[in-house]
Amino acid sequence: MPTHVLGLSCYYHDSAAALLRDGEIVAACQEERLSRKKHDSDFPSRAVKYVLREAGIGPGDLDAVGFYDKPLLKFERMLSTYVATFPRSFNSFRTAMPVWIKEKLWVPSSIRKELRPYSGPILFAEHHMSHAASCFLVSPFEDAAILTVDGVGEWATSSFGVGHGNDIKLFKEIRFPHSLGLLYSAFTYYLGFKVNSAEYKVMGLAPYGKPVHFERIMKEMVHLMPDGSFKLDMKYFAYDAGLRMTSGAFDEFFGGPPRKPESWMSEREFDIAASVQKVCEEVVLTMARYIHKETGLTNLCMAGGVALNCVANGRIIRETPMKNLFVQPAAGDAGGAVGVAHYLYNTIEKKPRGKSWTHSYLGPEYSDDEIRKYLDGVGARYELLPREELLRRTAARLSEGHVVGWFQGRLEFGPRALGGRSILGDPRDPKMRDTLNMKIKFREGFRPFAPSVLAEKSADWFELDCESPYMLLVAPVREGKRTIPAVTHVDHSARVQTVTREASPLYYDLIAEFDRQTGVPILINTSFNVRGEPIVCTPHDAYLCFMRTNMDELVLGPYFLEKPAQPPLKEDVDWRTLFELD
Amino acid sequence: MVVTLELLLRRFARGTRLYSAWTHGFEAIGAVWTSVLLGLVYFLSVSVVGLGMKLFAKDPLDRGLASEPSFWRVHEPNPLGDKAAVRHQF
Repeated sequence: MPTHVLGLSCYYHDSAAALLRDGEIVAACQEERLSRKKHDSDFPSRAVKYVLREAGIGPGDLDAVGFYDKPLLKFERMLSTYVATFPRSFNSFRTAMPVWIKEKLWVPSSIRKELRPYSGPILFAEHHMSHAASCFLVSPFEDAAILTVDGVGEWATSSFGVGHGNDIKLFKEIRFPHSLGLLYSAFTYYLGFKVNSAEYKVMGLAPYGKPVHFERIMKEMVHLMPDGSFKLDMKYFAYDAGLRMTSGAFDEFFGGPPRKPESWMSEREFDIAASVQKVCEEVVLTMARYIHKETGLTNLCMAGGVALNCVANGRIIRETPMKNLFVQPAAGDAGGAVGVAHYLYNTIEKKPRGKSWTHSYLGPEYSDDEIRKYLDGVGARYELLPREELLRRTAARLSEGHVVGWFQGRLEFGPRALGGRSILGDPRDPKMRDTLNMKIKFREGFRPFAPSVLAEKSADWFELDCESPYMLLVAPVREGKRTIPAVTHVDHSARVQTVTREASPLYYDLIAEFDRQTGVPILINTSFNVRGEPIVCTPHDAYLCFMRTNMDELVLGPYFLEKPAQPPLKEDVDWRTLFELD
Repeated sequence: MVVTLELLLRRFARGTRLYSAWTHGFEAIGAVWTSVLLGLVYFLSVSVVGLGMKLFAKDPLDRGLASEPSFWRVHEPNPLGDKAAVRHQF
């Protein structure tokens, strides 16, 4: 009988479920993709149903269920914080306690209720152990150093250790309230963006500015030691006590209040973003160097929300003794679901590790028949094309400057679209970035787009000596190859996705066909959604997104749809009323 | 009487504006009571411990910035052992 372990993460942000069968990942999915509520933190009922369906089992067939953190340790930290920050903590106490009393203290009961008739054990791993397991146990390394950095788990905000075989040992940690993730989130809040959601916008904004505040921040706010450990001067922050991220002292430090969301941005905001980005990179690089010194290892696995900072990741590879880097593609809390499941199966039960991950296509998939039935149901006009013609025509349209919605195979697990649910464009077109930002995604004009490049040609175009299959490394575009303005950021960098035929055959062949037609082995790849919307999951989500935006074509499996041929949507509503801006 | 009225409204007026106003009214009363009770808990328990800690200069959040060779803290293994620890929420 195969062993099935279900991993769950929920109640904070990005809830998710993941299922292992005999230690191999069967499916993993974020709840937001199914509920259509961005960063959905509720119990992942839909995701659980999906992963069980994918495995062809029911809840009663599960052997173990793992939760990605230790609720009572987290509660202890909350109470300690309220005590330490009395009386400033009253508002936070009044807001958080009802949720704890009603929900967060009753995790096992909630899980049992949702998973009836499951009667097996409900097990718990520490938050940072779940992160550590989520990267090391699915990595290609037999031995590796592990670094996890996020906002906060129970008490830890960063930790490091080593993985060997199926065992993980965490050695040291930095504890709340000293947190690199929360520092970055505090700046995200101050710059007028949504916390736990829009940190990547700060990273994208940074190259427009100069890190003029870097020295002052490092002198007054962040006390960094040569071993990468640090403390924050909490007089600048309010997240320890209240519902705000920054304090009045922070406002004074930067000479004004936080920027109002959606208001105009100036050089001031660009410089602040550049400064905190440099601080983040400095801390992460110092940590990586220290961990190498302590462990002697040159393989590094990373997870936690800060591991999504692909600029810092790129610098780890280029500037530290770490030679190989594996970052869990769902490095944030969603990945904790994968981590706890692997930790229980491999480390606790001492079972051998399975195959390492080569892709993150772990979500729902729809057959050609299901797609056709849907399209017929809504009266869509489409052509069924043979594979070669589908690739030829899609590449041709892209080379003419069209924007194409690309829906193929299984949905990606993690925040990045990697050719399963992507919007594609021509990277050579200098106007393409504005077109995509303003007319397709309806998002801020400064946001950069990322390139998907054929893995074997990546080094010709980018200063990158390794693969980056999950779009988690930023690398400079080579000087002689700056003919791809739509994916080249203002500092001549790009957030690269390397594509191999083994991981993604159809997507690889599309880029290869585009290369054959244009001489450029690269496509713009951005997630298939509009601003504030979770990445599309079903043919229905994709068709609605296609029809409500200015996309030119949609490729759903083997079906090719052109916008002018489509009948008007029957129940059209303005998407801006459906999705809260992120 | 309130219970009887609730049962009658639930039976005969569910989905109406009257029932919606009735439930919203009680939700508002519930929110006020929750705040009052939590306020009492906060000021009778958290305040006592918080003031005591301030008095003895104890900081459970370790916010002091006094010079130290490192701010890394040892990751304490669970005293129950890894295998037993996963069965607990702590």
